[in-house]
Amino acid sequence: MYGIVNKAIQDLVIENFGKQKWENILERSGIEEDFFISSEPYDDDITFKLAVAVSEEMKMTVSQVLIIFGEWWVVRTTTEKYGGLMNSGGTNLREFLINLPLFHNRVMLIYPKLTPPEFKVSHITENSINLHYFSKREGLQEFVRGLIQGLGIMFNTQTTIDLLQTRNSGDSHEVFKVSW
Amino acid sequence: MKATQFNFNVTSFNKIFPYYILVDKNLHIKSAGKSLVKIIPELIENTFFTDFFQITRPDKENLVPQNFNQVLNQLCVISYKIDPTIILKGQFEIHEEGFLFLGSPWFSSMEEVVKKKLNIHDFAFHDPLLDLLHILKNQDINTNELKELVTKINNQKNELKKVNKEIHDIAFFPMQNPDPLIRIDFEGNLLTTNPAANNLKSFVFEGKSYSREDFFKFIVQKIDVDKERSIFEAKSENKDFSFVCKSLKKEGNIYIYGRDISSQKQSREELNKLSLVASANKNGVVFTNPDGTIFWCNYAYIQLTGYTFNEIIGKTPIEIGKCENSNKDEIDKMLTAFYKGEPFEVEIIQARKNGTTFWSKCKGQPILDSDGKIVQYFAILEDVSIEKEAEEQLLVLSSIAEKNINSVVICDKNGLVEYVNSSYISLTGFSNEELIGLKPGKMLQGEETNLDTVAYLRNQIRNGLPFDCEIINYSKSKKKYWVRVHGQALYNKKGEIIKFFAINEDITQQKEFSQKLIESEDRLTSLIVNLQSGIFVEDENKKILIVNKKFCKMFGIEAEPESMRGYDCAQATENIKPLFKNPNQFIERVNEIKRNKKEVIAEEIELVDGRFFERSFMPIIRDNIYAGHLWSYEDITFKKNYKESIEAEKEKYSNIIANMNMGLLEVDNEDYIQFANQSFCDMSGYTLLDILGKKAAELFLTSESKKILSKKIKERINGSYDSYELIAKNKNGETRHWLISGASNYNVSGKVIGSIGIHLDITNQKNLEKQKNELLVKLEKQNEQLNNYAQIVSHDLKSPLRSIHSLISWIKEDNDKEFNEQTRQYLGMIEGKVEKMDHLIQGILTYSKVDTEDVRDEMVSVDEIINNIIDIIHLPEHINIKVIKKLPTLKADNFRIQQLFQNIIGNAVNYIDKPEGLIEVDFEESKKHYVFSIKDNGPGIALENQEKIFKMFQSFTNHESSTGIGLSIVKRIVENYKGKIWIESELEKGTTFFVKLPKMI
Repeated sequence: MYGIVNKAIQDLVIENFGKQKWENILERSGIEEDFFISSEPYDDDITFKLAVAVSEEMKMTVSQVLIIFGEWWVVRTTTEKYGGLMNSGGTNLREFLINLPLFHNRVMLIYPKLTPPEFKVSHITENSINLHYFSKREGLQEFVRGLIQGLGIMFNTQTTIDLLQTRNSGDSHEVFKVSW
Repeated sequence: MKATQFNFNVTSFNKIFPYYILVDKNLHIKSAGKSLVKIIPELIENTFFTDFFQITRPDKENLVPQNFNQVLNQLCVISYKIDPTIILKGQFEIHEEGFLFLGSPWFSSMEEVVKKKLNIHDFAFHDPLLDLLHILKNQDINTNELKELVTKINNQKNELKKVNKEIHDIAFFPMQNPDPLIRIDFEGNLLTTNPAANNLKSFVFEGKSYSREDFFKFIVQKIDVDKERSIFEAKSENKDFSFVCKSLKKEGNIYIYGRDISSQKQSREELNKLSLVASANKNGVVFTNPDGTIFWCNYAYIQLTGYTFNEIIGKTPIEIGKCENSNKDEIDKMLTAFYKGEPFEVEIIQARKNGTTFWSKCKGQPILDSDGKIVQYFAILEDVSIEKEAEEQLLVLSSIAEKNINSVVICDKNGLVEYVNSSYISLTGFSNEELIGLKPGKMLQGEETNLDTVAYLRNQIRNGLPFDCEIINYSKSKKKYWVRVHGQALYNKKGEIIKFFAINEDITQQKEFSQKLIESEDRLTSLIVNLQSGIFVEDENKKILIVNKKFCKMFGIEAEPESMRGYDCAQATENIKPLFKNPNQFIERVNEIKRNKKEVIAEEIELVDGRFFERSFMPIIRDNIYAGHLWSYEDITFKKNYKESIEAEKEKYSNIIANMNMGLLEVDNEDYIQFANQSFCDMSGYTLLDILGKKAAELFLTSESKKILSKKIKERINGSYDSYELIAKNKNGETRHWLISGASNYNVSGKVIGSIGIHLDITNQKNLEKQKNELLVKLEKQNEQLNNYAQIVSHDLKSPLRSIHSLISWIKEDNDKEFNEQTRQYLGMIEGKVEKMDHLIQGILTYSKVDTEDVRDEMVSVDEIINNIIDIIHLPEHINIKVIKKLPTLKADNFRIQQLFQNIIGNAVNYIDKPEGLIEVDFEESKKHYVFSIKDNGPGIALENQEKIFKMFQSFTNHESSTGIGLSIVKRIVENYKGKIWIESELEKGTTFFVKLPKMI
């Protein structure tokens, strides 16, 4: 994964719990890097180790960490670093979600070293949409849930998220029904 | 390859080039891409391309349709003239006869895209602009992060530098160490030395002197290199050094750390001297090992215990001295301190070798090495048997003293406190510790302490004499108390003073009691002396004991009261006898009273000069025996006169109340009747006996009135007063109206005890008032009917008049040629009369409406009204209306005010008989009013008619349109506004109407 992901985890921890906590987490994870460059790809393992270390240090489940991190990713990381990009994605949650597949395809161009997930949408109604998530990576579905929640916060929209399909139950990919 | 042609419709072309611009050969815009229109909505068909856009590159001047070809085949940058931040990058291509611009906008950051409200859908999918901007953003972020990383690395580098310096400093430290540091090899060759070691040029070891090089070669033989650590001492440069050697076998080196121990050596020597002193001490001194075994004792200890030195060494002091009488608690206390390594001080009965015992005081303390570890214990043993015995004796004595309820204090021969009992402590408030060792006098005496008594005590004590006195002392909290101090010195067998003891008895209460007794006696006497009654006290021997000033004054005795003490009473009585109206009777009565020896109270006696005295007699009986008596006289002349005048006043007012024409009723707070005068009885029809003690409201009032009254009663309790009306019933059950003026009634101490009401029967006035009101209502109704009548009549009269008028017009039209001049003139007159009749009816109608119609409140400009009137009325050419100054604005009904001025001005216009008519309108302003004046130069009004003109149907001219109603209407309007109208007029000269109207109508 790109360094930006690890950096975001670092910012999340430092801003909410202080530098010392981050040092603890870094030590607990056993990772030797203490600086991440956003545009450099790092081993996925680092990201997972960090997530696990955060969950242990904060006494949370990994799922909870991923949800919080997903929200943080949208609300802070992308809006701070890619504000323009996010704003061009749409003016409300519905529009943004409809644009998301196209949007993400562009991201793939910008980050050539990425193994990007793919998004599709279906069942578009006035108040809900089905978001399909295809990824080669395992175990990030809660991160996606956090991302959707983050979008809800960004567009100031109350959302309900139902997981309709998941690879955990033998389906081919995850489907989230996002209602607002 | 087959030539391919591309054909797009506008929609799909828009998809590919959403920013295209199509212009015709004359550079008129024919159409534009949807995204371009989104950011420049002003773009419309057939406008000039060059009005909107400027071609920045290529930079060609004066581009016109004829030379537009110049821009083809190259990169073109065009910018929007109104907003130069909109820049398009692309190329022009020939299309049909015109030009087609293909390109897309150029932004340098994503923020600019957002600012223009564009999103990804506004760009063709193939357009890389947005992606390039993102890559740019990424590069930005990267650059920033790398900068951060550089900063971080820089900081780390600085940290490393700092650490490096610290290491260097640490390494440098031995060089600066003031203690000598030396490194030698196993042969004793010097490898390194620090500056301090370099200063040591030569060494003295075991009395022999060596050069530095020789010394270490010599000493290395004495160092066991297998032992990691060893120590030796040597002298150098007149100082004693201790050297610690650390052997590093691997390296073949020995590190030698020197330390100047000159001063320690010195202390060690001093210790040796001290031990000599300890040996000579008369108290026993022992040194023990940390386990308590004695390794050294002095001679005195041997003597005290009776054991030999060899018997003592190796035993503990407890093994030597403990016996069955030894106090176990004290031994425990000592052991506990000993094991904790703390100093101790105990008193223990010690055994000697021969079985006898002695009281010992034992002080001990640990001796610590430089690491704080106990290396030895040191103890001193003192024989305190004699002191202990004395102490025990004192204990017995003090327990006796302790039991004493009086305060006991024992001082040493210098007068310093040695002992006090608990009573002494509770009396003085000082604690034992505070008192011991001080002089009692200093602690206890204070400002009111009698100095003579202090001197007496000092003197007695100094001379060893017993003492007994009373003295004021002060407790610790500065509370004053009286004590009786008695005590004496205690002597030893040799007759020397050894101690003093004193017993202090608290006599504060006794003192206070006798003090109070004296004070109350003094107070009593001064009371009598200053009493406002004349007092004369006679003792059992018939001599004067006390006479006060008032007595002397009352009886005109000039002598001072004090000088009369002891004077014969019989003589005194004889002297004042002539002052009384019946002197003999006075003497007889005095003797009779004296004989009876019984109390007499307030007996009235008249004096010759008209004064009245009241006399009381009081026998003084002490222990059941007659001990004289007391006379008291009081002048009651004024009181007596006052009482009489009060009674006269009361009589006067009672008469007034009884005879006044208004009913007076007095009730208590519960409304029970206390008193009523005759008029009230007459009003109500009851006798006084009928109503006394009854509830007033129950007797007289209707239920409605009761409610009012109960409210009034509450108000009276709060002390208020007012007047009010009530409906009451008299004894015959007739309804009466009473006007009541009520007020609270107070007792002597100002408390409200009820109320007093003055009642006036206003039934007749009430009836009259009622009649008047009924009459008014009736009148109003009639008036209204009358007005209605006038309106109906006027209205009904008008319609036949209109018919007559029409008929005459027709007759005139039809027969115009047949009638002669005379007939036409008559018909004209009929027409005139009909019109006058019409005016008359209109006038009546208006008059009746003046105060019936709704009146509006609005801002009325009189100026406008006058102008309006000039426009409306028919103004002949020879008459001129002049407004002298701008007229004010009133708050009134516009219509009424117009009517008012129109009637006056209309009259003036009608009656002016001069060839040049002039009407002048003006006004004066006072604080609350405006006075308008309308002056004409008409015929004037005769004095006798001036009053009448405002009356109905009074017309004093023969003018054809005069109805005699106009001025009545004017007057009515003015009066409705509470104003005034009057005239000033002179015959032949003219008339002025004055109208006074309040400003705020």
